[in-house]
Amino acid sequence: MSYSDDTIRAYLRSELPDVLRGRIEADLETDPELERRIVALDDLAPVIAGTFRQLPTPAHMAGLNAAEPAEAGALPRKRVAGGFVVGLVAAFFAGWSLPDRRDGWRMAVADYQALYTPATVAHLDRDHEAVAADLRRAAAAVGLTVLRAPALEGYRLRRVQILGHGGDALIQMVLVGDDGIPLALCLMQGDDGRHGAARLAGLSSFGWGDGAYQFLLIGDIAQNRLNQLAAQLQSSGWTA
Amino acid sequence: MFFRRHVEKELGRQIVNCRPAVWRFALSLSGRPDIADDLAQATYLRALERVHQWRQDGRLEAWLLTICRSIWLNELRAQSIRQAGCLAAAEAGRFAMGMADTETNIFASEVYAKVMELPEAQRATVELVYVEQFTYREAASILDVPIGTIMSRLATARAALRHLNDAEWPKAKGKRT
Repeated sequence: MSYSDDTIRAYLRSELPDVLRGRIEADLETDPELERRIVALDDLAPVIAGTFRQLPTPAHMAGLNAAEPAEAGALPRKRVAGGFVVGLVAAFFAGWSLPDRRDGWRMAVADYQALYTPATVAHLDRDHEAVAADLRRAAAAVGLTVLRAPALEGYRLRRVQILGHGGDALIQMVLVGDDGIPLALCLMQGDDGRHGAARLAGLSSFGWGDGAYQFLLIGDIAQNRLNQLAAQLQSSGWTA
Repeated sequence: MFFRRHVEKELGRQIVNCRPAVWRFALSLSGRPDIADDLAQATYLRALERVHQWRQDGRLEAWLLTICRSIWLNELRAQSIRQAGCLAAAEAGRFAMGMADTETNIFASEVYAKVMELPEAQRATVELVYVEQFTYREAASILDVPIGTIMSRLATARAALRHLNDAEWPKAKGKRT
């Protein structure tokens, strides 16, 4: 059914009788041309679009291009975190190489891990063979012949990713507890000697190294519990 | 393998191009720029993890905004309410509008404030239809409501914002972006 512009304007002002309004809305469900006319005659649309499309670009978007260098350390944490995540998106598609823009790989890992929730990992269900293949690829990326799956009681290895930081490979192993809470066990080549417990991005963490490789266990659990898990890993002989 | 790599790289570029729309939608859901930042970031991360689910015959923005809404409802909304006590609309003065002149800035600030005073559901609907220019059907799909609900929300929002309709929109009045 065709409606005049005046009728459509009256509809937009909610001035039509219920029966006619109902008829228009029934037609709208199947008539895209009627919808286009309504939108075109709606004076409110350009006013709102004009306002919202010119909202100042949020600070974190200014640093979103992965290739842009940034003044690490001088940026507010939230901005850095935003830049990291979208930089990560770009890096993911470009081959997992992240620019060195952080004040340390541990903070980069922490900001990434802080975005994880149980729902983030709930759908991860790679089978044993797939995870084993991921471990082999990860081992090769950091110059190891073998990278064994970490064994922690109550935790299951759900994913292994090859990330990058400062041009070097960074391995992230996602461990999910029986309670659904994810932990990350990360490793990189080298050992800067910064070991021990630390609170990073609101998460508990524990770092250690063996002179050739450095490790970080991190997650949103109590620091004492995380320390125990880190000790369990070290005493179990798990090593890169 | 090479073709898939190419497709993924192109998709990554497109996702980056969608970030203003994702952030605006996150703002319309949360009502607060700081939470919108977190929500947008979580959306990019989730899209990255689920890139294999992207169907190339669909509109990428719609897929991202559907993810955004899902994260908001399932993960961040309750947490945000707990932290804030309630979801207050973003204060109008939070942004210095980016328009050219003072008169336009004042008007834009008023528009922003009034839209952000709408209830969350109306705000999100207005943002999708008026700002991102999704069709009613697309907006209904993103928000997972019947198309009639979209019409109803728009009608209620129009009534609340009616006085803006009568105001003079400096320089931009009547122009469609």
